[in-house]
Amino acid sequence: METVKIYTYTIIRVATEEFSDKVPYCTGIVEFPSGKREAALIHGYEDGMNVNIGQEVYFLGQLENGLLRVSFTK
Amino acid sequence: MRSVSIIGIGETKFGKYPEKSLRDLINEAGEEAIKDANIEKERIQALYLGNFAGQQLARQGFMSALASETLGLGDIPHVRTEGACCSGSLALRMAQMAVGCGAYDVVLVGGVEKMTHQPTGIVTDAIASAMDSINEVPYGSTFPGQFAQIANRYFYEYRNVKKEMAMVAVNAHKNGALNPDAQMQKEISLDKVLDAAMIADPLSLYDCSLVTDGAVFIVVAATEIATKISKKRVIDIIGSGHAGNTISLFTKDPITSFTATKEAARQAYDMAGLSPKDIDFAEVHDCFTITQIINTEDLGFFEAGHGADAVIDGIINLEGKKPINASGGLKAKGHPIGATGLSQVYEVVQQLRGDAGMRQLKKADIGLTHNLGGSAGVCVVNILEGR
Repeated sequence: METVKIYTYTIIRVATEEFSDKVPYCTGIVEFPSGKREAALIHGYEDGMNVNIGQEVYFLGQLENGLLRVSFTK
Repeated sequence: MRSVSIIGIGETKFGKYPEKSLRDLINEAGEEAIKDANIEKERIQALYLGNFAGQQLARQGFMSALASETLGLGDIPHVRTEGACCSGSLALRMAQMAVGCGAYDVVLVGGVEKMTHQPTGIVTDAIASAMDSINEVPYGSTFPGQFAQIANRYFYEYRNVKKEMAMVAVNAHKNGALNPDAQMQKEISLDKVLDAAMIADPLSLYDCSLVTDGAVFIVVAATEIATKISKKRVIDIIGSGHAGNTISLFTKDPITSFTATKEAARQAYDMAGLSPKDIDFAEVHDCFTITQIINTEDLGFFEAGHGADAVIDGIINLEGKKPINASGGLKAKGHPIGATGLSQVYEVVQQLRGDAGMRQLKKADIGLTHNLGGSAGVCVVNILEGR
C-alpha cells in the first residue's frame, strides 16, 4: 500500500461548522514520494496519539469527488 | 511617482459593539479622520475601503458605497479592496499609488469589519473562506489550523518556541493595556497563556488574535499639498511594498518564512533607501503568536530561526531596541479584519506624532507596518517617517 509522509500537521479542536462534530481530528500537509505536497485530513486520529513530522501514513486513494483519502491505519 | 503623506487618522475603540451598526462604526472613524486632517469633505476625490467578510458576517456587500453614503461624500469614485486580513492595507496601497501617480491629490482610505455578533462557528467559516475552498477547506483546516501547521513545521526546522509564543501574547496584552482603543485592557500572566485550552495544536486560545468590531480611516494627500493643509506633523509614506503569493499553504515552500513578506519588505526598503536596522519600531501582523515571530525574521529584524530569541531578550518590548506591536497588535488591540492594516498605520502615526500616551516610544522617527493576508498569500509593508 502506498504511503506518504507527514510534512506538517495540527490537531483541530475548534472547527468550522461542517467539521464541528469530528473534533479532535488531524489535518495537515502530506508529501508523496515524488515530492509533491497536498493538504489532507489524516483519518484515524485518537486523542493523545503521538504524531510526528516525517511519519509515514497510508494513502488510500481518491474519493469520487476527488478528495484524497489519507489515514493512520490501513 | 510623487511623495505621498498621511494627514488625518481616526478610529473607533476596538471591541464588542452589538449596539453599533456598520454605519455607526464608519461614521465615527471616518468623521474623526476628516476632522483630524483639517479638510472639508469636498476636497476628498476618491474613497478606498477595505472590508473582508461583510457578506458572510453582516449581510452587507458593496461596503465602499455604504461608507461613501454614510460619510456624505457625494459622487466621488469609491472601491472596496479585499485581500483577506490584508484588505485594509490594500486600500491604502491603492490610494498611495493613485495619489503618487497624480490621479488624485486628496483621498480617503478606510477599513471596517463587524464580527462579534456572530457565533464562533460562523466566524470560523467566514475566515476559512480565505483558504482554498477546493483543495484545503474540505480537509478540515481552519485559520488557526493553518498557522498551527506552520508552527509545528517551524518547531521541526528550528526549535520549539511555544514558551516564547506565550511571551509574545503576554507582551501584546501588556501594551494593549496602555492603549485606550484596545479590545483587551488587561495584562495576562505567562502561566495563564500556557495553561489555556488548545484551539489547534500547538496554538492555544491566547496564541490567537481577537474577533473584533471596529473601523479605521486615514486621509492621504500628495506631500506638496499635505504640508500646506495639515496643522499636525505630516507623516510621509517613504516606503511601500506589495507582493502576492499562492492562496493555499501546501503550495508554499518553505512554510516557515513568507515569500510575500520578504518581497513586499524588499520593495519598501528599496523605495525608502533604508535597511531593517534603520526602523525604530514596527506593527507586524500577529494573527497568531508564531506569525509575529516569523514576520520579525522575514522583515530582516532578526535572523531566520532566531525571532524567538529576541522575545526572550526583551528586544521587542516597549523599552527594547526594536519595539513590536506597541499598540497591542491583533492579539490585544484587536483584529477587525478589513480595518487591521489601517489600525497598524494609525498606531505608527500616533507614535510619530508623539501622541501615543502611556505607550509612547522614546525613539519614534521611522516606523514600519506589516500586514499579511490569508495563509501569507499577500502582504503590504509601509515605512512611515515624520516630516
